[in-house]
Amino acid sequence: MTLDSSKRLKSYHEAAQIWHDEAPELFLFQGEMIDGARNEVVYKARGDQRIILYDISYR
Amino acid sequence: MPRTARAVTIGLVSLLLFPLAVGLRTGPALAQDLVIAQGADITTLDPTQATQIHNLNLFYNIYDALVTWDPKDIGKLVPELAVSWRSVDPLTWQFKLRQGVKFHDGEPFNADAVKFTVDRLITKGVHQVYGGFSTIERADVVDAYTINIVTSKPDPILVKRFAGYGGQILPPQYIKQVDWKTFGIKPVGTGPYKFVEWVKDDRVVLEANPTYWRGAPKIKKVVWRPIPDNFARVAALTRGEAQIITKVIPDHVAQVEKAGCCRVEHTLTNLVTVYLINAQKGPLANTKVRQALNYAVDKDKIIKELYKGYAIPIGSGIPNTDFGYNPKIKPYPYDPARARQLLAEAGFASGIDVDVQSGNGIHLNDRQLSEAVALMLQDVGVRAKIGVLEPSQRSQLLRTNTFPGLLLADPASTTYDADGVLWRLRGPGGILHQAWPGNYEGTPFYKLMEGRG
Repeated sequence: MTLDSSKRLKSYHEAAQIWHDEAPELFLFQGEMIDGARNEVVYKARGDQRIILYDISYR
Repeated sequence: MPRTARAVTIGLVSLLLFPLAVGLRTGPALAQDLVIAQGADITTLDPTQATQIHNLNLFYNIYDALVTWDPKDIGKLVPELAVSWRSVDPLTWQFKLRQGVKFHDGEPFNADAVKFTVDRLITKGVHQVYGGFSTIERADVVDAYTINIVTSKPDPILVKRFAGYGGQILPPQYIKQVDWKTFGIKPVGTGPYKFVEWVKDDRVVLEANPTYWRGAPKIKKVVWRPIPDNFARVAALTRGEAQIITKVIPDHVAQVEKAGCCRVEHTLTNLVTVYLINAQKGPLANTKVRQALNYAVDKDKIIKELYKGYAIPIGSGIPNTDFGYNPKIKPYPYDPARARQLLAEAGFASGIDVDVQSGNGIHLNDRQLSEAVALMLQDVGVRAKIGVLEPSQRSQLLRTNTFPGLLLADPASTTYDADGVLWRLRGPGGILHQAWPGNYEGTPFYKLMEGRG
């Protein structure tokens, strides 16, 4: 493995193309997470699904 | 009529009095506490012993890691207990540590705590997170606030590994005083919240750490409640018994929104939903057949009808949140005619039989998804037989790559680097390696990934 990230990106892109073309999976979708919040609470859903209390407050 | 009206009035008065009495007894400070309802109770508070998000959510608040994700750009690293890091040679990453930080019990945070944590992470067979740290050979304390982490081969994603699960820094003195089991139920970290109590299947209580190094948190007390039933979780939110709930299913979004008190917060995750195909033998060993399956399924329709639009179609197993995502790779278009043609070219003009399996409730709408996919496959001459698996049966078939046909799964790279889905799962020793001969040793895919540049 190389520490050179542009070389690494190129390898990933080429490997992903093979993956797509040879289709060893039935590719469906990338999903969303849905949380519910009370209106009085300042809160945003994060892409890593983490709930970080430090960033939450009341309006 | 007057009697009825009076009864209604009395009913309203007692309804109004009851919450008032509760308010007076417990005091107004409660209004600023926070209750969060998740779908399951935690299993441990030892961050090396669990990887599911409902457990991790406690870890991320009780502990700090060396680094974490930028909340505005998940996958981009920002400092936490490390203030900086650099690669000093191809095998060594050096971290400079934050000074003046203390664990909740007063123990100082320093390079010894990081070494203790790394020693734990690289010990095989005693915890759940070894796989993420297997490239590490050792940690060397340089001075009280400098540590070198040495890998067995060059590892470009070493720092990212510490932002994911298992990266939480542990208190060596406390753990030596108690033991790992006690630590798992009475944890001590450096994080913004301190552990108060855990009543199994009922609640976990945390309180603000007033001396947190970033400043005291705004909310003083937080209660985490397990509410497994999806509908009951929404009801707890709309009744005000919880202020935040996780895992609202798309069918319940309208319920949340029309209540007036509440809203949904949603965002794309790095979880991709796919059917793994066992391509080792039979018709599915033929690439044209596998491509035909991809053309046969109308992903947009599935997303709209089963997931109310809360998803985007994909053309490979790499989510757009990963380093390595290739925006030029588009989803297979829905083209049943092309699917039939590919099947005919592969010599299966009269169709094929395929197993389509999933759990029941392991993934959102899994059974309904299999039914929808089966109908679309039938349309192009693929006779799909739906199977519903118990969780243990499913994980056994997956682990051994002996599942017949198609199996529903949602693989992800925990480091937000495509190395996870491309190689940790597909490379030699990876859980999916056997299922597709196209990633065996000597193939173009293997050569690309083995070299990675």
